[in-house]
Amino acid sequence: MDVALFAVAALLSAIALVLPEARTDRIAAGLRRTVFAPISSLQARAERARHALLMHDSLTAANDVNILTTYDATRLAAENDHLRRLIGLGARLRTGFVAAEAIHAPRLGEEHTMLLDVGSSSGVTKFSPLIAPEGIIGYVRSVDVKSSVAIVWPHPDFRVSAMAFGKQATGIIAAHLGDGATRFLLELRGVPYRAPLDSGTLIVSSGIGGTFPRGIPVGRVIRQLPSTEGWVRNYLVMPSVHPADVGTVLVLLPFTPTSDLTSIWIDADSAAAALKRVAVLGDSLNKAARDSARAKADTARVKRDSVERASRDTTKRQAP
Amino acid sequence: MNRSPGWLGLGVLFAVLLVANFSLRPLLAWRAPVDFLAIGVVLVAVRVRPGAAALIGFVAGVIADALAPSSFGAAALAMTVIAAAASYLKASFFAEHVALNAVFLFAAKLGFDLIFLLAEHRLRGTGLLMQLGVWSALSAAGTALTGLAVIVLFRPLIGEGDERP
Repeated sequence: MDVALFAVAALLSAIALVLPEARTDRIAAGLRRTVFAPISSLQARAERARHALLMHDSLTAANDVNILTTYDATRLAAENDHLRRLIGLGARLRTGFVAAEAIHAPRLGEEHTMLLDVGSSSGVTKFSPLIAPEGIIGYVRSVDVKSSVAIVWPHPDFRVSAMAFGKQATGIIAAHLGDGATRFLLELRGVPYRAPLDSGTLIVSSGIGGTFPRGIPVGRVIRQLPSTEGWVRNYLVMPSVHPADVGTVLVLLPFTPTSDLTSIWIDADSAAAALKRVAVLGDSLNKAARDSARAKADTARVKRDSVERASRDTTKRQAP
Repeated sequence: MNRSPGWLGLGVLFAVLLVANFSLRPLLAWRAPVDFLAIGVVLVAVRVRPGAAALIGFVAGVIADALAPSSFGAAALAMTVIAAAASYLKASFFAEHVALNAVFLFAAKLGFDLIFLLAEHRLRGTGLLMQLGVWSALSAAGTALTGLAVIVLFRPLIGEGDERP
């Protein structure tokens, strides 16, 4: 009996081996589709799981590339925005400036400097101001024919004569040589005691000294600093522009046609503010109109209710 | 009649090994894979008569052939021969001994690969020798060690020794 069963099984196997491939494929497919379907499914899942495990590293790498690309796109968008604003500033200045690429490659001990790809051949001179659409960045310290070195406002030697916009308060802006994050703030020193400044007051260049034209934003007052001198006030100022974020700058040339650039920044800001005010005013008018209509409706309802109540009372009194 | 209390456990273990063969083996995809199906077939074959073992081996081989149909029938033939041989040899020679079980599994897997490779006619010459001498031997060693672990771990489940009626 055992031999017979073995012979049958071996014979069936041998027959399967010699059958044409097309037929055995059909038989195998039929078996996979019916009785061995669960096992076939299990095997397929295991294969997929293995594929997923193998793909994990490459998928992670691809994901990293996508993240980097996205990051790069964000950086490009920010740079594009900066360039647009720079073009806008250039259009408002019209003449008397040259655009320069700022290379942040300071050597050890020379932090807060930047290399510019314009030099004396482009009209740049020592102390030429560096500006960005947001305000002052620094000024040129040394000039070569095709390049120049500039110091930016966190540099200990940086100074600019400044004033509070719209007020009779002047002083000198310098880097705040504090510790930690406050190192990247500015100080407005020597403000007359009689001219206190509120937090948020805009500080612009005063034009005194001739290096910086008047009216370029420097920053906004954060708070008053304690002062040893009793007759002046010092203020901590949040700078308008961070040099590390700047890739392209405008270098103002000595023959800048006007010494007062207040209109370049302040008027543009005022126009934007005026537009905002108009929008706010429009909203207020709409709200007032809605409130008025609601008040009228309320008054009419109250009148109607009063008449109805009076009518009901009269009817009640007349009743026996 | 010698009814063994291990049949249910043996059936469950065979099912587990069948599932492992078609899930864990493709997942690991080793060059010298552990043949869980061979372990299951041998474990059952040594506990039944040679005729029944041949049928069980044939069915297991057909399953393997259906899921890897490069040479339909080769695995069925190899598994039939191995299962029947395991049943005969167990009855004739071997006592119940853990180390001998490992040798038995090693020989069974190597024999399976030999019959399978010869039946499918895919490899010849040095390729065949390389496959048998290196990869099949490694696979047989892995299968033997795994089988040994299965026997030791699941001994209470599958019962002791030769339990054929």
